[in-house]
Amino acid sequence: MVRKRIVNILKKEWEVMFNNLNGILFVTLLPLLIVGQGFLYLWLAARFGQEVILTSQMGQTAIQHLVKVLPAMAALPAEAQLKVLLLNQFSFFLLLIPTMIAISFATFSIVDEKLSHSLEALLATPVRTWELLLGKALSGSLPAIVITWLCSLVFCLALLVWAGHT
Amino acid sequence: MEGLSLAVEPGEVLGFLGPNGSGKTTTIRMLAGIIAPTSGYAVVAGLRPDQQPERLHEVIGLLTESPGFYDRLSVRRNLEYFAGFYSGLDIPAQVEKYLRLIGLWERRGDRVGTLSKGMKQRLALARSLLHEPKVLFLDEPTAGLDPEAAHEVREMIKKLSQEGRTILLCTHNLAEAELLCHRIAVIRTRLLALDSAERLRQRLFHHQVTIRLETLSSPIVAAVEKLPFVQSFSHDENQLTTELDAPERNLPELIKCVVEAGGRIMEVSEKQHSLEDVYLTLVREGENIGS
Repeated sequence: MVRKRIVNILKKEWEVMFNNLNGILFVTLLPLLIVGQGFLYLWLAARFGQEVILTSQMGQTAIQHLVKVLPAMAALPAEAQLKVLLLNQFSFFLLLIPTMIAISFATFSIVDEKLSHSLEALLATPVRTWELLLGKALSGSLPAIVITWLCSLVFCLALLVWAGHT
Repeated sequence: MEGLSLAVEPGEVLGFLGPNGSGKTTTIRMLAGIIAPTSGYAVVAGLRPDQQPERLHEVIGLLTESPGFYDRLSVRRNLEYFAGFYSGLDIPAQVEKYLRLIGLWERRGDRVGTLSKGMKQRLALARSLLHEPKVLFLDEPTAGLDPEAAHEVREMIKKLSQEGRTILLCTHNLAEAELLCHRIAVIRTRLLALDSAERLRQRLFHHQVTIRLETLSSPIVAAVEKLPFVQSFSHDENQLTTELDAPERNLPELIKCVVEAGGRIMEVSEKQHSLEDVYLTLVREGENIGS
């Protein structure tokens, strides 16, 4: 029964979210922006800041540290080493995606519940408060995890294309 | 709320009357196990709302003040969602049964956001009935509805009462309370009175009888004044106004007395105090006739 109730909540949350253009934009546009922005920074840094970074003390130290972790990097030319450094730094940005999506999902869900005054009617059903909270938490975090993996995949594919190109 | 103590019989419709902020909704929320009382307890359908809320929710239905639906989901999907929390329910059959009952079956695929307020209210009533509850809490079911929609909702409540369900009805509409409720509880953070509308009226007011005469002479006034059952008495040009105890027994006596004193009666009328008079008197004076 617990599983049935939680699945019920999950299904409804997703229906409400994906029946709403704002909701769809929020969960698709945000990850795209983060990934796109990453590539923009990488391109800008490689295009205009390459020499400055490679000649700076900070840039060299960072590359040396990275080479210690990834010894195979030592064989690459300096230009490629910079790209690896930048991409390596950027992968942390991807961690923003699950957090932001889960938070925006939860915000939408709670605001919707509040606006429609449906919470009281919901609390009068046999659903337990923890089931409701778990259902809502899962409804936000499950798509967030899936979307993060998808974004990582897009990021890696773009990387392959870019790296292959150079 | 303080010191609220009352018992509701199975199958009874009890009305909660009281001004805004008097604790009607709070009481219903406590009885429905949504909030816990700071002290004291209730037993609803044999269960303690503060101890077994989940089991209680299987047997009660709550109609909240605002319908509370997900506007972007369809009429049917909304009901299916709420029905999905109850155990052992044939969801499609129950949803269809109640959508047909409230006349919204044809609109089952429409988004709830496109429904009128009256339709939403009927839908909310259907939602509270999906699991066939024994006890129903209805919080202002006709608030903000046009007269026709309010009439439809009242007819539904009447039907539910005839089916033998126990109903607690919060309302501001005194005519509605009188029409639907077996007993009325007047509350203002405490219980001011609890009885049927008719008996509350009798407790608070004497029956007022007005007799219009062809001419009013002083022997008639003198004769009526002497009658022991006349509680108060006033007269003008050709009219006597009296307040009587037990009118069914004493009204014929009064008429006989007037006729014997030479009065020629044109009209006898009895003033019925409305539930509004009862309510206003109780709420203003805070008179605790229930105790």
